[in-house]
Amino acid sequence: MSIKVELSSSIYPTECFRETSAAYAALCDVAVLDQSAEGYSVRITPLSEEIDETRLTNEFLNYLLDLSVEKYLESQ
Amino acid sequence: MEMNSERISWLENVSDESLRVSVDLSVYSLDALFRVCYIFTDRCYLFLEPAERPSTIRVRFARKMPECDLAIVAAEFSNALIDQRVRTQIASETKAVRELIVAQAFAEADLIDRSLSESSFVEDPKGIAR
Repeated sequence: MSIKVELSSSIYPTECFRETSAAYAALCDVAVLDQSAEGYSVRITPLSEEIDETRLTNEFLNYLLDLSVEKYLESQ
Repeated sequence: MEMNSERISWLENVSDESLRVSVDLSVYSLDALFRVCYIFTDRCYLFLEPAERPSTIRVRFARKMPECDLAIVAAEFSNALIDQRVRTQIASETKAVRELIVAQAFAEADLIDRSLSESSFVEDPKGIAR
């Protein structure tokens, strides 16, 4: 079971997404399905059936948001 | 007092598990929104997406813990946005004064003559041990 998420590039920079994907590599498989100037869509698939995909996706998105905020504030 | 999303008009119920708030970036800056999000990611799950309306971002809240009351979290989030906006405005208004105070403080400090601060503790030139 996997979850598809649409992400805005202006909120979630792709380098932060890559860093988050690397941090979660032991827990899930992350694939970029589509990419445009405005954003990108990704599919998150847990590597184990014991992992709740909704919780995993939410944790992934929170981690990604924190990284994106840190990057934004560093650039200010 | 009981607080739920029906009683808070700016909250939008998406499901039993999540709520949504639309943030107008002409009222609250992206900087303020990001700073507040950073504070709230340890209390709930947040997801940001651009709304159909220009310069508006929708913030989705989802529960981390079953006992978490999302309506209260979202209401506190909205208040934190106002606090952050005011904080940013005050920082901007007092920037010149703060810079003046720091400049004055450094002007009074003798940053060139370090003979006392770099002296041997045995000599004790400031008489600290006496």
